[in-house]
Amino acid sequence: MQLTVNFSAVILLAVALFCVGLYGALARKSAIGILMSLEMMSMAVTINLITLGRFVSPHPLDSWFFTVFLMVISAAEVGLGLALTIALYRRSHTSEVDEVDELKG
Amino acid sequence: MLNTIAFVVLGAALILGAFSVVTVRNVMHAAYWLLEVSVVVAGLIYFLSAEYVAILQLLVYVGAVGMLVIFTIMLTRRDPRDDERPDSYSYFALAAALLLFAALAFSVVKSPTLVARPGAASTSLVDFGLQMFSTSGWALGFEIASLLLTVALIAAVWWTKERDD
Repeated sequence: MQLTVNFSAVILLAVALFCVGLYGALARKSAIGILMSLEMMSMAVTINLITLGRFVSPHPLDSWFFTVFLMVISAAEVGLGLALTIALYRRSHTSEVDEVDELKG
Repeated sequence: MLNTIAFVVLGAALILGAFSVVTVRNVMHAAYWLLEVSVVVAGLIYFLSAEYVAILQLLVYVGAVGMLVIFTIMLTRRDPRDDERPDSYSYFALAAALLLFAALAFSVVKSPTLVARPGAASTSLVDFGLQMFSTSGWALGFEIASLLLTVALIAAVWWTKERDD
């Protein structure tokens, strides 16, 4: 299926998604909320890769491989992050990152 | 015309879902919105004629990551007052995000608009598989990725298991 898209519009959409994710990663206090924001930033990078592959990459399939490996890394990242959240919850009975201040000077 | 309508609908759904993920107070509702964002991103990838990646996006983000997030929320009991606490440093986060958006949007608008290459959509899944598993292609990367996932799995089990200490 061949659809025509505007390059700048898709990239701007990915930029918007990345920046909203950045806001969430900085402003959220729940560790799970921060991880969800990181996932959105990773999805913005996915959109970017696919768009650039559609428009500029030397081989059309290159962006597919990059995206698949990005998904692997992102899945490993969120799996470890959520495991850390559960470990944190076991230890301090909260998943809010601002309440974990035992190492604060 | 149909392209424009589909793109505007997808874009609006994406931005609405993304704002909901970061602003909704209840983490469980945010997780549902994250599922919506994942589905819309899959639609956008399909729109860019990468059908196989769109299916992978659905499987990995909606199927695996979404379920993982929801199960973690259910395993960590939340304090009900967490939903009412104000975000103390959200103005700093807002300023950082707006600055980054301004800088990136400026550079995107200033850069030349590209047109899609002819024949860019004529990529087949057979080519993808052949290149992924050929030693002159991405086979090494594939093996490293599987190793990474195994290590992540073991580490996740190690961190979350009950300890006596």
